[in-house]
Amino acid sequence: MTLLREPDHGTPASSSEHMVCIEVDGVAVTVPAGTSVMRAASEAGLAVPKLCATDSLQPFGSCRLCLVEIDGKKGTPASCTTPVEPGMVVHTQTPRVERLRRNVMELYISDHPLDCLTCPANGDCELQDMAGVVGLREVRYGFAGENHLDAPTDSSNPYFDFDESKCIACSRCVRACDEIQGTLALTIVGRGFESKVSAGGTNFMDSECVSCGACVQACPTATLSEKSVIELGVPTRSVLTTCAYCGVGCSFKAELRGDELVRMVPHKDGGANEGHSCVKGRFAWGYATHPDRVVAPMIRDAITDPWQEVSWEQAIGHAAQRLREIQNTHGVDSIGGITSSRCTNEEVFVVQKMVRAAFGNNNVDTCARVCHSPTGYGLKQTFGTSAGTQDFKSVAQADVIVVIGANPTDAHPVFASRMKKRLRVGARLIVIDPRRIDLVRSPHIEAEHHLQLLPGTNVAVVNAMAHTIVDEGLVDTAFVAERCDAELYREWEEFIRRPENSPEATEQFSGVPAAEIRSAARIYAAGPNSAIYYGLGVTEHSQGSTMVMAMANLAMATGNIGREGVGINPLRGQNNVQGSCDMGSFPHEFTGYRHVSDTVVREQFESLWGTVLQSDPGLRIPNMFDAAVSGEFKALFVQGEDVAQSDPNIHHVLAALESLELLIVQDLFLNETAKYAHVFLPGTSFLEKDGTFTNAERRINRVRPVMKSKIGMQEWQVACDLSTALGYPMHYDSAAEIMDEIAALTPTFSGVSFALLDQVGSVQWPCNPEHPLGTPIMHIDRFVRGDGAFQLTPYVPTDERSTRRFPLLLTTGRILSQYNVGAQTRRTANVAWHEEDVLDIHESDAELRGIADGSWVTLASRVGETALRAHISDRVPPGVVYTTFHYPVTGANVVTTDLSDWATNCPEYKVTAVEVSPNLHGPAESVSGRSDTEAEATVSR
Amino acid sequence: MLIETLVQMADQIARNNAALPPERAAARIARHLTLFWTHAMIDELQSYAAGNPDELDATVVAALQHLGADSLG
Repeated sequence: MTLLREPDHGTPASSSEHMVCIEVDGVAVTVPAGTSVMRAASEAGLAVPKLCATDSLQPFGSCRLCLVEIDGKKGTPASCTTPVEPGMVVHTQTPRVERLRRNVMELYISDHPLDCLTCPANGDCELQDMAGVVGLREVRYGFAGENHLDAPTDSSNPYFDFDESKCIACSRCVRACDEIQGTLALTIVGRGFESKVSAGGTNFMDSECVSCGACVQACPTATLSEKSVIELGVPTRSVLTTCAYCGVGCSFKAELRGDELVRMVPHKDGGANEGHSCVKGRFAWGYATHPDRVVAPMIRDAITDPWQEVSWEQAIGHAAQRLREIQNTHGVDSIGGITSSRCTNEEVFVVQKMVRAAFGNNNVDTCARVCHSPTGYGLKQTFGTSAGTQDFKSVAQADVIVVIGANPTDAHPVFASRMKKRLRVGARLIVIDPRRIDLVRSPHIEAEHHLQLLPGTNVAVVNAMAHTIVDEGLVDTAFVAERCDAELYREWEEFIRRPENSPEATEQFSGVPAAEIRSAARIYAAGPNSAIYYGLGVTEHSQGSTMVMAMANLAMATGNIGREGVGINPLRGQNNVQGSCDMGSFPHEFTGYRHVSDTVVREQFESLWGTVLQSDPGLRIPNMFDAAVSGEFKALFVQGEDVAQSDPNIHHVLAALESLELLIVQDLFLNETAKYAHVFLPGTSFLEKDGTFTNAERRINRVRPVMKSKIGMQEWQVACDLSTALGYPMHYDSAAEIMDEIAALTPTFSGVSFALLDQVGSVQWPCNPEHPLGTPIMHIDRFVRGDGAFQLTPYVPTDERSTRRFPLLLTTGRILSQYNVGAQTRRTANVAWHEEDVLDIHESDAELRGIADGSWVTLASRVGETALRAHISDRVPPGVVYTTFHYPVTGANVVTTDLSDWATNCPEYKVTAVEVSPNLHGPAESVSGRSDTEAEATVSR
Repeated sequence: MLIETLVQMADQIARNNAALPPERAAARIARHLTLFWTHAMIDELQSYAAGNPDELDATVVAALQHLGADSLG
């Protein structure tokens, strides 16, 4: 594809249903009321010159380039700020406005460097374009007067420069930061000639800028330019693809110059992001070409041996032979596989097919096990399907937003920007979280209630909200009567009314005042549109599944399900968590969440796959590790997941990995898990993949190859080859063919094909003959399961309690610039913002222990200890400490336990009893058995 | 697998279904085990329950009886 330039109509579209007819330059135009004259003209193909206007921002009317004449109106109004009126007659090209525009442009150019031929934006500059459009031929004022041509360039940000000498003070960057990103890091300081853009009086790096790139994208000149464009030149072609970081699943234009990727620009037509991005997706893609990439297969007999580089045939043949030998010795169920939420649907599908058909068992699980498996369980029990209920756009209709156990501004930043936009215009906000996340109080946003509960008491608090709703007669009885199972509701109502579920009882152990819980419940029930958004702070608990069901109960009881602005919305951690679950990665389910014991379903798979499949569930990831330690499980294939860093109780995980006779790792890098591997199969980055990702709103997006595969093939071909070597031939000509098989076997995907996605961009499943273009909102007229099923959700305290020995509770999470175990982001310039994990500790806890800000501390739990620097912070309450898990050298999961959710075995990462003590030795002597593994990996190669 | 792990998992499932009447709790636990546990895991727990019924939550024992009284001996 040549360089994709999306149309820019200058001002946002109007959503009015009332249409207005006007005439522009003799052309009749019909547009929704509220549309600007500029947009109406543009939609009719009559572009009006502009500089300060762009259709992602509200009209501003500062550049005076878009002046027009309108019959019956005095003067020359700015077309961007003038709404259409019925019968309006507009003239965009008259001698008067043409002269005015030239005069305006003359002033701009008189204070602008005349270095177009050497400017990095040459050919991609709106100022340059507009100078041509208005016919500027001379600058009568000369260039010797007072100007800004010597203004400095701020190069502090690792990804873009701010060249102040080229700024025309159009405020597009400032408005993008305000309106799109919602950070308000930029402003215009000074007046008149002294007006200039400022990052809050400091440089960009030291400012509150979050490097989302919205300002760079909005800039009509070379003032804000990607360093990659400055270095490599303006790109010449585009490939549309999907980001591989979080579960928002942003669409991007990968812009290349020849075969070299120059920049990633968010796609305006992307359903998930609509033209916005975050620092990871926009800029942190350099890991794909990092020298640490391993692109040749390797094998070794023992994990103490050095790796031997071998051919693909040798590696596949060796792996297959060893797998079969192990099965012959230890039984068919002694091996299994783990799929990755970072891989495409097609790659995940072939791996689970390989396990079920070639391994001959159901021992396949996915890394969603350790994040959102309770979402699948809880929503299936209550609503009938394992997915979120809304699209992201829905938040724009929410009147009350409840954020539980999620930190969207760090972990799902592009969705957070949508949410903040709604909050800034008045939606009410309730945050339920042990930490004071940014959303609690940020520019123009303040939570009405922050229920700062003690980690592990989620269920009690949400039950107490439900108790209030029932107790105070706030139930939407009509919704419940029409949409829900009456008997289950009656039973639930009796349960939730019990005194132990009251806010007053809950207050004793949750730490949340009863009055606050009652008030929050009233706000949620009053809506009228109340939406719950949640993250791993809900799921990664011993009652993760109970909590998901408790939230679903709350939504059903108040009728907040089945329309825009409401719903239960999981914010998925990784790019393809939803997809990996959809693709049959769980040991008990085929694609589309159908149980392996369902004979009718299983026979469909058996018929198409030509083999007999097991009807019993297989092992989950924690079961695999337990079985490995006890000697029953002997071989594991791990696709794109670093279990040795990401899974809890690392000592137990390492014991399991060490006990395996064969560990096959497929990844981009020699990660922590690869240290225990016998076969390493290189994988592909998202920039090389051809396939689809499914995001948190069930949106299936195309992932298209931007660069040639560095391993010489698509990643799914590796699993096909291994399966074939195992005696179960698996062959596809393309990823599209795999999707065709998925569609043939999966009712919710039956309408999905690459051809459809290429045509319409994306669809949200279910996509089938009933919903040929997908389903943005689920459960509109009825729940997937029929009647909504209220579930009893007793609060059962976790076994993980603070004690005299371990008196603090540790909870973990992500930071904006880093992603999960950091395998990708640590190999980018994002380390400039976060070069190590630190431990947030409240001042009172620190003082009690003699801990100073920035000093090394030992973090110890009953299963292990590690060392990191303390960061004294009032974001955590006394008694709670917090850290991230982005660096292997810190090894935060050395201390987390193997307690897990009762229904799904999702680990309880969010509650670990710990003690923190001063550490005079630093990390080397106190991190239990861990070291700088990247350095070791390099040596071992 | 370690029997301690299986017992802990089963008891945890029981505690989270304790709001149901015992018979329905047992039925639900039995269904949960069938849906999500491997046969080998269920067999191990059944064997253990046969010899150590007092070591398990009573509803778990009842659930295992639902699944196959014969194998409990």
